[in-house]
Parts: sequence; C-alpha cells; structure tokens
Amino acid sequence: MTQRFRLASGGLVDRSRPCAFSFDGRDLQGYAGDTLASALLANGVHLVGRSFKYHRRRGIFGAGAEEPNALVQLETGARTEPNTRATQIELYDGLTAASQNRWPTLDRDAGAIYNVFSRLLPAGFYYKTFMWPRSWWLRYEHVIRHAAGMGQSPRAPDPDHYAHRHAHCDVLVAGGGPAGLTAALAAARTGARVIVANDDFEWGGALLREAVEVDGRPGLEWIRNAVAELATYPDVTLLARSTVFGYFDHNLLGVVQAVHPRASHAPRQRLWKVRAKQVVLAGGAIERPLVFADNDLPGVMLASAVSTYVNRYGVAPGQRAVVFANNDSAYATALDLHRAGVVIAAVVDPRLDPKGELPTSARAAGIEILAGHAVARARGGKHVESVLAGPVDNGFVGAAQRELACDLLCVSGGWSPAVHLFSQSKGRLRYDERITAFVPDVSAQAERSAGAARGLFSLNRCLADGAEAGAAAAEAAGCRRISAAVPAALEVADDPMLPLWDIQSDATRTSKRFVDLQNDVTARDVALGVREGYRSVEHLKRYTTLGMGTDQGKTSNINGLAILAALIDAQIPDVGTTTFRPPYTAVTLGAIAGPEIGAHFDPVRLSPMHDTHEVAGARFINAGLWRRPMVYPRAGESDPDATNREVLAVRRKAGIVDVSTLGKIDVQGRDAATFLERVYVNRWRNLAVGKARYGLMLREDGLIFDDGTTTRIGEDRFHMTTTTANAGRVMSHLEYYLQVHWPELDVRLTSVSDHWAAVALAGPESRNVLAALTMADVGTAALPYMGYCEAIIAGVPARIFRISFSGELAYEINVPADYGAALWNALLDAGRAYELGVYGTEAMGVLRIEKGHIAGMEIDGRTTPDDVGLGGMVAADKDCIGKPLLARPALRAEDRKQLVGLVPVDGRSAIPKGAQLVVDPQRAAPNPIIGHVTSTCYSPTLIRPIALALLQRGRARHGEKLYATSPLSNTVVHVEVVPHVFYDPKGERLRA
Amino acid sequence: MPEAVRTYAFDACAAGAENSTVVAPGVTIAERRPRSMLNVRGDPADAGLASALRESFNVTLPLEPNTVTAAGATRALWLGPDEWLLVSERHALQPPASPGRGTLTDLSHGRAVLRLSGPDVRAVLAKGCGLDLHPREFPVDRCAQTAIAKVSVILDHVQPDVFDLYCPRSYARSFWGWVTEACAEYGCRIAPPAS
Amino acid sequence: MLSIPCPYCGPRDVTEFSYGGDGNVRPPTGPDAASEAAWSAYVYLRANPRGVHEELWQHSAGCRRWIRVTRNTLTHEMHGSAPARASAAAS
Repeated sequence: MTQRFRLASGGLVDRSRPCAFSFDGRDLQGYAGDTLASALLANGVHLVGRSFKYHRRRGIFGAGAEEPNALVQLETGARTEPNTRATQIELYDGLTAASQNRWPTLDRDAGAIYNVFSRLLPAGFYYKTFMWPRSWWLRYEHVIRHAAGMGQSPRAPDPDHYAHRHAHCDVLVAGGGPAGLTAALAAARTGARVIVANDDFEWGGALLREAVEVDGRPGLEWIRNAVAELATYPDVTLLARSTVFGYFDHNLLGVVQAVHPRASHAPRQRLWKVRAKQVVLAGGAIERPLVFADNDLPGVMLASAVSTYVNRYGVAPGQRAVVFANNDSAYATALDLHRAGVVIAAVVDPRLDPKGELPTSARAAGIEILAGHAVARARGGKHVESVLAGPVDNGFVGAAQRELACDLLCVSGGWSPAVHLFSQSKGRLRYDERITAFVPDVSAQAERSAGAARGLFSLNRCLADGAEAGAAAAEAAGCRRISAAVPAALEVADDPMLPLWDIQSDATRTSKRFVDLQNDVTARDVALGVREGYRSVEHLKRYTTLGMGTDQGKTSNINGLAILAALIDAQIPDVGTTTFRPPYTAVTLGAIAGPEIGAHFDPVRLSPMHDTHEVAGARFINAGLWRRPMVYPRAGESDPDATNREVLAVRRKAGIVDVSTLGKIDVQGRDAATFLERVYVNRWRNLAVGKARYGLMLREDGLIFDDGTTTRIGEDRFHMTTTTANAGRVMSHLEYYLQVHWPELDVRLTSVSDHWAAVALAGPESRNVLAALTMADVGTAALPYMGYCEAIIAGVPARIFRISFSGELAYEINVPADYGAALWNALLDAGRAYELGVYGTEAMGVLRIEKGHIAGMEIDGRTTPDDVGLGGMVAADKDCIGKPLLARPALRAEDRKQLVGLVPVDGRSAIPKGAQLVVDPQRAAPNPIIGHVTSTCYSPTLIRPIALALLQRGRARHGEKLYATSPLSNTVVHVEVVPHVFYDPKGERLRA
Repeated sequence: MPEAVRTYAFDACAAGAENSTVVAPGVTIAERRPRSMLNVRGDPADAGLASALRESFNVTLPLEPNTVTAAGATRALWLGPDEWLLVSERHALQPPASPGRGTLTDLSHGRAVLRLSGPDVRAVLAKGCGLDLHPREFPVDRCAQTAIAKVSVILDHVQPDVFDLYCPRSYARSFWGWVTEACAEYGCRIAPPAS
Repeated sequence: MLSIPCPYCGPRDVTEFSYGGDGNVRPPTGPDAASEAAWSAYVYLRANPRGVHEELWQHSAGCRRWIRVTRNTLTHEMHGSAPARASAAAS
C-alpha cells in the first residue's frame, strides 16, 4: 500500500481500478477517479513546483481551476503540454508528469538562490534594471526567460487532432454543480434545448466536497439522479470535462471539451462554439486565501480544497491540521478532517465570537477555536511544521503568539463568485459588502447568474436559485414555464465573515506575505507599486504582475484589490477590478486551430483538368486558393528552360494553357449593355452580337480595378470574364451597384466560373488544331479576331472566343467543366501533328510581357488607364464608375508613372524583380526614385531579358538610359527605356 | 469522333474509396450526379416566368426563403429573393424559349454534389457549419446557402437525416477531404455514386 | 462572433458576410455631380460614429443580397436590417 494518505474508505475514486503514474520520475499509484493532485497527495507528495520568480517550494494549494501552484508538464515528447493544473488532470494509467521551473531537481533547485537575494528583486525589477544599455535587453531576456518561467512547449508536431463543433441551444448552463444542475433540469423540463458544460469529469460541483443531504438523501445520490434525468431528454447535451472559456458577442460561448476516452479517430479536444438564446452562469465561487507571512509553504491549502480531497477523493492531505478562516465555511473542513481522523490543532478565527451552526458543531466535536486570533506566520523548512497565531487587532498580530504544530494549514478568506464569464459578456459588477466580493449586477447579454456565482453560498439557496434561473432562461428563450418541485437542503445559519486582508506582525516584517502565489507578488510589492505611483489597478497589475499568468489572479484578485484600496485610502468598489478577458482557463492552440491545419488550412480550388496536369508532370503554383500549373518541365529540364521551350512552342507552332480559373459572369437582361457601360470605362452598346471586347473597370476612386474580355453572346446577354484574382470581388462589386444603386436596371448576374472549363489555344498553328476538332467554320472570315461562335468541339458543345493574351492567333475555348479533361486531351491529340505544346502560368506571363499586356502587377491599385497606356479606352461621352475622380489633378499630373518597357543595355543582364529606377545609382540616399519594375522575365523570343516598368513621364523617355537597382538582391542593371509592347506592336499576328 | 468522356469532380477521390463493408456507419457519403442544374433568376411575381417553369418543368418556385419545392425528381431550391436552383436527377432541363422576364442559366457542371446520410450527419455538418440544423429549425425541404469549412455550400435537407451538399466544382476535392475527415470519428461508409 | 440578421435568411454568423461600409453615403447628384470635392467626400470621408450606425453588408456566403444593417458600434446590438435597395430607392 503505497498510498499512505488515502483514507480507508470514502470518496468517489474507484479503488478496484488502480492507475500507475509517474511524477518527476517517481512511480506512484492512484485510482481511477483521482486527479493527478489527489493521487499525489494520497502518496504524501505536496511539493509540485518552484515559484515563478523566487523559486520557492510550492505545494498543491487548491482542487480545481483556481490552482495557482500545481502547474505541471504533462507527458513528454510531441504530446507534452506545459502548465497544466494537476488539480484538473484526470488520472489515467500510465500518466507521466513533471514539475516545472526547477533545475536540476525540484527538491534541490539552483534557482532558489533568487529567494536569498529577493530584496534585490522588487516589483518592477526587470523594468528598472534591464533598461540599460537598451540594446542589451535581448541578452537579458534570454537569461530571465530561463530563470523565471513556466513549462516547455512541445517541439514536435502535435500527433493528435482537434475538432470544432457549432451548436445552438435555448439555454446553455455553464457549471455542473447544484445550481447548474437544477437550472438544467428546470430548463430541460420545459422542452428547451439545453447544453450543460461542466469543467470537471464528475458532475456535482461543490456537492462533491460537502457531506450534505438534498431532499433528505445523500447529495451524491441527488447528483446521480439529476444527471440521469437530464440524459433522458433528447434535446439536452451533457458536456463533462468541458470548460466554458469565453463569452463572446451575441451570446456565442466557447467551450473546450476534453474528449475521453480516446477512441480511434476521436479528436483529443473539441472546441464548441455555442450560440445560446439564453445563458445560465453557474460556475460557483472561488475561495480566497489569507495573506500572512510565509503563506506559500507547501501544506498551506485552501480549506475547500482540503474538504474536496477528504470527501471526494478519500485523501487526508495531513495528519494534524490548523484551520485559519474568517468565515464559517471552513469549519466544515475542520469537521470533515475531524471525521476522517485528522487531528485539528485549532481553528483560528479573527472573529471574536463565531457562533454559527458550523462553529457550534465544531465546538461540540471538541475542536479548539481560537476566536479573535489570526495566524501571523507559517513555519517550516520544506513543508509547514507549525503556525504562529495570536490575538489580532485591525490586521495586526501582537507579540503574544502561540505556536501550533501542524502539517496542514487550511485557509479561507471568504469566497469570490466566479464572475469571469459574466464580466467577459460585458456585464457590470457590483461590490457586495456582505461577502466582500464582486457580484454580477447589470447584464449586457441574454444571461443570468445563479447560485454561488452570484454570491449565494448556502446550498439550499443555490438549488432554488438554479431552478429559478433555469426556468426563467427557458421561458425567455420561448419555452413554456412549468411548475416543478425544487430540491431542498437544510439551511445552515451562519455568521457574517470578517474582512481580513493583510496580516502583519512585528516579527514578520522580513518575511514574505504572498498575495499572488503564481506570480510571486507579495503585499510589500503592492505597497511599493503604489508608492511608485501605480495607483490604478490596471497599472498595478502590469507593474507588479499581480493577477497575471495562467490563473489570471483567480485566488489573488480580491486580496490584491483590498490591499491596494487600503494603501490609497479608497474603497474596494472604487478601485474596481482588472478587465476579465477570455479564456477563463488556458486553451491549447491545437483546440483553437482545430481541423484548420495542413491541407485544411484553406480550401484548395482545382481546375477540371487538374489530373491531366498532374500526369503531365506539371509543377504547380498557388494563385489565391487555386493551384495552377506553373510549368511542365521534362525530365532533366530546368524550370527556366522549360518555360522558354513552352513560350517558343506558342510563338512558332501552338500551345494550350488552362485558363479555367478566370472569373466568368453571365450578364443578362434588357439593360445588360447599359450596365456594362456604367461599370466599364469603354463603350458596350455598339458591340455587335458575336463580338468580344476588352474592358477596363475602375474603382470609385478612379484607379483601375480589373480588366477582362467580355463578349456579347446574345442581344441581351454578355459573357464577362475577370482576372483570376478578382473574380469574387468583381461579382460582389457588380451586385453592389445593381442592388444598392441601380435597382431599376433589368440585369441579372450569374457566376458561371465553375461551370465552364476554359482552355486558351494559341500560336500560328492554332486554327489548324481547332479545325481538326470541329465541323464548324473557324476560318478568319467566319471567326475573325475578337469574334465568337458556338460549336461542337471534340463532341462537346463549346463556346469559342477568338481572343489573345499571348499576342498570337489564339482562341479561348469554354466547355462544360466535366468535359474539360476531354477537351484538353482532344486538343493534345489533334495538336500532335502541329507540334502543339502545353504551357503554364510562367510561359503565359512571358508571352504577355513580350506583348506588353497588363496584369496584376501593373493593375496594383495605384494606376489609371492612362498610366498603363489605355487612356484612350475611356469613352469621353459617357459616365462610368470612377470617372468623376479620374479627373482629379493628381490622377492627371504630368509626372505620373507611365507604363514602359525596359531592356538591359548590355543585352543580357536580367532586370531584377521589384527594382527601383534611378538616374544615378551612385548618388547618396535619398536617391530620387523615378519608377519601378513591375514585371520582368527572360524573353526567349527576343533572346534577351525584358521588363515592364512604371516610370515618371515614361512615354516621353523612350530611348533614355536609367538604372534598375535592387537593394534586396544587391544588383544594379543599366537599362534602356523602350515602348512597352516588345512583340508584334502592330498586332498582325493575332489578327492572322 | 469518339464521344467525349465526362469526368466528374469526385472521380479521383471517390474511386476506390468505396467501402460498403463498414457496419452501422454514423454517416454514409455518396456522390450525386444530378442530370441537370439550372439557375433561375427573376421576379417571382413575373407571371411569364412562373408559367414557363410550370409548363416546362412542372415546378412552382418556393417563395419562402431557404425552402425547397419538389416536383417528381426535380427540386427547386430558394437561393435568394430572385434566385433559385432547379435540380433534376434524371431529366435534362432545357431552358424554355421565353421564360418571361427571367433568365435561366445552365450550371449543371458548376457544382459537385455529395449526399450525407445517417444518424451522425448533423454532428458532422456542425463541425463546419454554423447553421442550426436541429430538425425543428431545419426540417426536410429546407435549404440554405452557407459556408462549410470556408467553402460556399448549398445545403438541402432532402429526407430525414439525409442532406445534399452542393459545393462549387473547383472546391470539390478539397471539400471531399474535409468531409471524409470530419466523418471519420463516427464511422463512415463511402457508397458508389448515384446518378 | 457577431450574428447578423439577414432580412431573408435570418440570423447568420458574421463570417458569412462581407462588410460594405457606411450605409448612408450616396453618390453626388444634381449640381454636386460634377464637383470633385463632393466625389472625394463620397469616396473618402466617413464618420466613425459611436453608437447606432447604419451600414451595408453583403450576405456573400448566403443569399448574396446587399443589406442595410443598423448596428450599435459600441455594444454590437443589432437594431434590424433591410434589403439595401429598399432604403436606397426611398432616399
């Protein structure tokens, strides 16, 4: 029997199911139903970590989400998780955990030296010390991070997967304790859709630690029945191991669920996004510690946590206990320990005459009560060995002190309702003097708090309050309220608590009185912060780190506020609280990312011909969400060589490229031409049916938005194309004008982008290839440049547009998408006789640069039609979107950058990407930049590098020599300015 | 000239993935290959459009947002106040010559369709879909355009626990990957395509 | 995550919508139609109101309607929505 501190009986652990686990390399044993913390305590292990800053020994302090100390590194390798609370880790067989922030071992930690020099490490120490010299901060930081810290992040990719889940309900109940369960029952009985989330793996909340009866039956039996009843409702979802971590806008709540057991294919955690009509916040309350000298020794624990270990886990965290409390609730802990056979040395209570029911019972059980006393100091080397207690007056303990030997000190400074989610919902808090804590006051969203979460600490009132909250929430969500019996418990009469915030004594001036255990913030640090002017609670938090860290001050918040208030002579409600932000407890990045990782980070769009490209050995490039063939290298061929070959095939023979990614919009209606005249700069009314035209769209600010070819395929019907990148934006833009500004136009838009597969067939032989696949007349008379026809190609009904991006005789062929691959293969077959090649986006880019066609690099949101040499397209005698502001002086300025071509003076130096154009590269900075390179490539047709650029007064500079300088690649190339159309400037080839 | 081969969007992912051996699957996935999908735009008050649709397809357009009317093997899905999708499993829907003031556009190749069915179908959809799919809120013959896993999807509740998902064809393979992964934890059977 | 009431589809997550800006700006008409200053104001100048604000959204992943949503920019409270064109026609 290794579990020395396990009680002979009792608790909810399953003693028939032992779990072997290891902590810091020690092999230990607990039971199913334990947490790691309860299993450690069962084995007498209190020491679980070293403190953040001073490396002091720290023991298990709480029993749930409030735990500030027992943060452990769970598991190893890729599955390791830092800073997990041992108090919430459900024990399983084979669990491995390790303590954090210690070196070389937890017991002999070199960092403990910081405690010796702690006078040198006051609040704000880092800010004061490591600011000089400024540039050294990075070096300091490295050392500080090593010394002060938490656990280690995993270094390997996470082998588990995580899921997301949307959910909707009438009532979301956050909390599985007495108020939460009665709320859920009351709501469920109305037929409401209810989700109940409980962060624990056991239902029952505070009932799990209290030896009490509900409706005259044991509390645990009532829990079992309540959960069993809830499980019978088809519209109730019970989520155990599920923490409501965030309350967001419009009643959206985030819940992170640990999925257990680990079934095959099951995610490790599931993140629920719950949109609730109504919310019941029943997260209970958090017990506060008391602030006295050396209150951080292992063996000092929250009284409620001790009750939890005794009653729920059957573990005695000590053999001789002192209880120190300013309220009645901790007397229950004294009685629990007493019943479990633990000696109670005394209950120390600053109140002069505690005479509530629980103190009376304690007295009757023979427990000594030191009324009007306080603990001034805990003593001990590695663990608490005794406490010094004496009469207390206004927080000060005089010299008359009595030493009480003990190995367990249970503390309770009162209770703070868990208002975190309420505050996240933007609700307003109110300070309740009676319980010296903040409670929910004015709601901002559709929620209500119930039970201890709103300051009701009696079980009987929690049960009734939960039932009422659940019924009211269901009613507010539209369900019909029904009357039902409310469970009841015995009302326990209690005395008011006595606020006691910072206990001082003569003998303890040199000792530390911790306010925030996780961040090592003492009462003295708070006082120093205040002296140095950090009087606002938000400033004090940042300066002293009070309330920071993974627990965000769950146990320290009110004590810190009260000490601050006393120091600045203010009232606690005037000091206020720091802002509560999500998450309530830490959420793993894996849960937040969910399935949106790797291949599912973003969806991928594929052309209908994608598989044929794969087979052809294409190398792909991401273009937005699309994956497009960039180049089709042959075995042993470099990408540039392949691109050159693909370009030359088009220039000399023929080639095909997949252009299915272009946006395609069917524009129909009697006012279709009018509509196009308004959205494009150029004319459309005069376009004949069966003809295509290049169009340019502006934004309202007069700059170019998008371009493309649009074809009149019927009197009232146009087939519009957009660039790949802007397909979605153009559709939205057109819908905006039609729906918002021009509802009177008879125009209907349908996106047909995905319906049509599109292939551009280009090159001098392209007509021959096309003719081989169709009976239709595709001769230049029947289908001239910018002509359109419909025909059966390779057995498929197709739309043929004689348009050209490459500058060659070319056709763009559209077929219904499922026939895209068939068309592609038919073109390859028919093209074999004409040496037809395939080409990718790289070759397509080279072809269009040679031809001086603009693309995204030139339409960069800063250029006007005139800038890119298309000023003549803007019809003078009609209005269009963007035209009024196109007339602005700045858009017509003489020195605007204009599209030009560049060639290297030496005929061979590549012109660097993104290079800036300057007159004199030697000139000291700031060297005036008069232009920039937009597109650059090697032209296999012209056998030299070429580029497009935007250059101030560029059209007047043809023939000038400038320098293209790229500090990024540290290159300077001497270039000559030339017209931007390098290839076939007269356009004879595309009209062939 | 040989007849052109039609390549369906899910061909490469569904082929060979069929596993009818899965016992009691939580979800069954089957590709649908409707013969025809026709986009209708127009004013629902336009008598010419209404009578053309009735005469050609025996279809009455649903006027309530996000609902479906069914006529034989043809379903009319509400997509917007002036937009519908006609889907026919078996018939090639030929747009009538004069559909009043409306327009009918063939989109038969524009979307790929998956049918998800089974007891866990809502749990799978809820992984990526923010809509409330509770049977009371989203009963049979209700449809919606929404985003699932960042893909624009039309969701059609065709029978109890049976949903058709229409995704743009270019997203099909990516969407297939998401759906099959989302289904995995519930036990998933991949059935052969139905047309 | 905001929930935006689409006048057709009902409440949907904000992720289904694209923001379209202030719903109260109108292109200059009448004598202002030729004024560069009026156009600049229309394109560039926006109030940044604290409180109730009428703005345009497109239900881009849903029915693709442009809608006019009245939202409190401070609290995100939604005060209703309408098709964008209804109000545009009325103005």
